[in-house]
Amino acid sequence: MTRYPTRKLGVYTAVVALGLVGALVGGLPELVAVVAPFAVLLLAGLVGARPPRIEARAELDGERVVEGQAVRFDLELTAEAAVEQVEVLVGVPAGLGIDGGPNPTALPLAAGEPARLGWTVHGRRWGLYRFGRVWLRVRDRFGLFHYETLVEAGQALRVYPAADALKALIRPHDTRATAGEQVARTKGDGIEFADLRPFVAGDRVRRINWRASARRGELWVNEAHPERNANIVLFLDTFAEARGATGGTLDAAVRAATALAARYLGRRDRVGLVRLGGTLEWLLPGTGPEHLHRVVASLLEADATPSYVDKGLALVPPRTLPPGALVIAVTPLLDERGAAVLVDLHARGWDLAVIEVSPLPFTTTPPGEFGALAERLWRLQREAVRARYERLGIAVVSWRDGVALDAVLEEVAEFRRFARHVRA
Amino acid sequence: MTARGNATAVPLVLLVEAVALALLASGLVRAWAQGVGWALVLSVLAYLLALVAAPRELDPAAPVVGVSLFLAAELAYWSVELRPPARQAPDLPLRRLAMVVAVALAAEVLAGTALLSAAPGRAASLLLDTAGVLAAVAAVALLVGLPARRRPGGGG
Repeated sequence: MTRYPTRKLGVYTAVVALGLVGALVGGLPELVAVVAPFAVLLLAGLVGARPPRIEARAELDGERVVEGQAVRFDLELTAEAAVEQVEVLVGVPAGLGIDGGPNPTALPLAAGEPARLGWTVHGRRWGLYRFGRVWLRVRDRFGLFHYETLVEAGQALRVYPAADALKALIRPHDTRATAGEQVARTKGDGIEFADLRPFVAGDRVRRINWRASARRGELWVNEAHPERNANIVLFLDTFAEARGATGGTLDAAVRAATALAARYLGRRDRVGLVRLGGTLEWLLPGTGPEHLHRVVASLLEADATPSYVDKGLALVPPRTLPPGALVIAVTPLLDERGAAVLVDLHARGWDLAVIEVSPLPFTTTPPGEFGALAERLWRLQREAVRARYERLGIAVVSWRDGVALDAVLEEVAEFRRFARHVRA
Repeated sequence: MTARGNATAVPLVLLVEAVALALLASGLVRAWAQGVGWALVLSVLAYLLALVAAPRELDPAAPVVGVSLFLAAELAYWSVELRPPARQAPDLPLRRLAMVVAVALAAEVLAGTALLSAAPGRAASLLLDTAGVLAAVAAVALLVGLPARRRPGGGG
């Protein structure tokens, strides 16, 4: 443990120095008598100072929680010699909360007897945290020194976003050749009825539509839409975020992306991820429950790092964006670079849908006449960007955290049903 | 402060004492350890001023003044330290009180010896003078060296 002098040591030393120097210079022996108690305490404290030996063991009862859930954190302290009082402070990263006991707290330690403390740690915001930094501080019995140490029992705690369970989904224009649960627009073997056509040699008998055949006097067969899977790429715009006391656009975007990934992967689609902002991160499309963990783990590291570099689509590896993939962009539309990349994606032929995470709940109107004017202009600029997307046939729907994502996806699907696809 | 102060110095001494009392009260109310420290330094300064302004004769109440200041300072620091929530050992207050009383008694003996050796009519002692000079030098050296060893960001 590292030893530091307390303010009390400084004050008592100043008093003793003042008294003794005053006594010597002014010939005032009374001053020696006045500062004698402080001198005695200083002498005793300096001679008898011994650093305490404390062993600490910290344990976090879990590595993964969902936002709002909690895990137990236990701390066990053992001292070689009795310690009158040890002060304990558990470092809590922003995004986590702690209760179940005071923090900081203090307790006495008996020699060789372990003392246990426990807290409940709440995951308040998704993220990857290092939890378990504990500061210990012991004051000596005279209050002249304190001894500090940092216990680095850092354990990784993953707080997963509390994502909605979605019912609606955006249906991709193109599907892959392999089987899945997306009803393809093409015709082939499947369950979903598509059309009727005259029987040709080679058609299976069980596909004959007997009712239609009886009415027309010749054999007709049912055609169906095959069930295929699709490539879905979640595009997270992390160029900028709007943040308030209760959260931010990035928080909501990550929750939305997690919900979408879980739903599409549950339907056996291949899901990829591109995080484009201050840093570029990507995940190649994959499928299965393990891939969901990879996607969420990548999302947990999402951060709106400020950057002035003009990043574009050219930086994204081509394999990350397979041809014909449905790209679902989750963006606050706050940065022109992010907005430009989306137009570029559309121009290059990818099937694009934009979920705009509204920054409005996290903003306040600047004071004064010009503040209100500036806010109006900013809102108009945002509307202009949205209008440009709509003219190009890109579905763009505004979403606020707290509103069901299902409703937004239905709105996207409705737009795409009637949208006219225009190249930029 | 003794009652023998010079009439012209009394307002100054009273002013310094009043500031010290205000600082002590503020320190206790706001759990501000620095306020307690400054109050203590100013109180000793006030006593020094009173002595300087007074006629040359030995103040027999000096050891009592010293112990009173010491007790006040210890209790004030103790009060400030107790503010955060803490689980205390049941015998901690008693042990601490015993320590304070022991230091006060030892200091009384030391202060009595110092006053007796400086009483009028006693021959000057080279040994005591040397010890006093050495103690003063040690205290000043410790005071000068303290800021370098203080924890970054303060505290304590």
